[in-house]
Amino acid sequence: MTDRLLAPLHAIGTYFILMGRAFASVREVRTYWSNFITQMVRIGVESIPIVALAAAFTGAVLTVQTAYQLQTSFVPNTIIGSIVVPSMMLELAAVITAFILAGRVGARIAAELGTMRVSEQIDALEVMGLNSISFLILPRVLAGVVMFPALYIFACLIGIGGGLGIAEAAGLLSTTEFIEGARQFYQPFDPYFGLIKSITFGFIITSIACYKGYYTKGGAEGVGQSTTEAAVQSCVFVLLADLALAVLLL
Amino acid sequence: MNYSNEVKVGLSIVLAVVVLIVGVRYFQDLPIFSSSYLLTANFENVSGLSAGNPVRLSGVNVGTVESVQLQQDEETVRVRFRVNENVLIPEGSMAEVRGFSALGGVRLGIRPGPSSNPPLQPGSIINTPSGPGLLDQLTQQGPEMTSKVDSVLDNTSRATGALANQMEEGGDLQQTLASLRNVATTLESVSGGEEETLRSAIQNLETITADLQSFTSENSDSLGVTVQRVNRNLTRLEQNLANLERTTAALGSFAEKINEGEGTLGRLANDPSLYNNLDSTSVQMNRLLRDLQENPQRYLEDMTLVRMF
Repeated sequence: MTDRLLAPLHAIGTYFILMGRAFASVREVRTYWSNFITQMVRIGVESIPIVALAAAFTGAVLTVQTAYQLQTSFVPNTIIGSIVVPSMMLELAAVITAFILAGRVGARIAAELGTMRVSEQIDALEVMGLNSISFLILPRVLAGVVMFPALYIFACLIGIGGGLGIAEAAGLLSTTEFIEGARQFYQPFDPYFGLIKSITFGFIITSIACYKGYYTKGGAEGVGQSTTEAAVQSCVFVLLADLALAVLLL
Repeated sequence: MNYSNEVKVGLSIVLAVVVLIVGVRYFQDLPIFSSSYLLTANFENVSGLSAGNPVRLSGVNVGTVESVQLQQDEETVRVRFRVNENVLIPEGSMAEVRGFSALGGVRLGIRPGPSSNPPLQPGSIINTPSGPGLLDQLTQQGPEMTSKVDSVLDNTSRATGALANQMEEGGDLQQTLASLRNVATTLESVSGGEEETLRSAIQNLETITADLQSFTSENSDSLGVTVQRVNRNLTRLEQNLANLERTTAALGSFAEKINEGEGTLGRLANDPSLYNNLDSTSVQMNRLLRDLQENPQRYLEDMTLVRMF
């Protein structure tokens, strides 16, 4: 009974100690540099196409649906732009990217580290005298923190572009109207808020995946469980962090 | 062609940074590569203006509001805004908050001063109009306006009811409307073509009215005297008219009498016997005279006086 109550606390403690140990070795750049670059390519660069696709469709759908919702009211057309652009910047670009990457990157990291744990490769690293945490975890988390904002920016660009394109193509409103509306209610803080969100999400997704993978137990089944938990819990904590940031910073 | 991982990462990060900078400047409505300068305006009330709202000069976006700060000790709001470098705002210009936050957004409008003035230097303070903002004016006049709107609506509903009755009664309303439209079109074309004339005519009318007014105010005394005289003359005229009427009545009865053959004149006018007598007399006279011409000796026989020779 006590064990079950304490289990979440135990997990939180383990997670933060793991992260502490990872960032404690942040100065040993040489240990993880080549891994860092590789992970940035795998987490960031290789995710650009799927993020772009999702963002383009999100922006387009958001524009069409906003236009549909506003079609009978007295609201000027430009308002569509003022709704779509801040929505993309504040929420959708960051959250859609995070969800896609929770599946794509989180699952991958958890499966990778889990397999290494089960096949005792991590133990082998330790035997070789390498700090497995700074060698395996730190580059992945750092890559997430660095590449997520970049992905967020691309998602914004392509999402807004998608909205603009569909607005023009479907004749909902002109590009000029769209941009005018976007500028009308533009808050300088919007994109920075999105950037803060994406950095947070990048950290949450990669660190939870690393934690789940690093502490995998059992065989192939354990790897599967870690992967699932990594993906699901990343999504849950992304949503919680989303709410917390919105409440705290807006 | 294979690029190293470093190149891929570097390229995506550089691209992202470029997109961020360009995008932020783009949505702030700043020119992406040229710079802008800062101006400040102090308002009593900014009616919901906030950072990021556009700044417009003669309706054209020329910059953005950078910050809106409440200065509680001075009871003003300091608005700092950026204007594109190539837009020069002359001294004496006014900055004012326009629009509602509910309809299409608030913006900072600049009413330009005379263009001969030197342009405002970066960082200088631009004037603002005093007095309550548009929204406050509306709020103050709200109750009054509401009652007016109420009565207007009342009238409208009554009018609509009447109209509905009319519509039910017959279709000539449509004809009326059609002809009204015709009239309106004609009027429009006339007034369109003759706008200049109309305007000058109205101006003339105005000047005439003004002249008239000045004339009356200047000559009010003599005008009064004149009016009194005219009044007196009018009463006299009235008396005269009454006399005339009486005379006419008398003449009328006289003429009636003549007509009816009363009195000498009446006989003269109506009785033909005098005429007949006169006529026969003149005929006989005629005959006598002819006879006299033809046979003078018959009558001159005894006229011894003529026998002198």
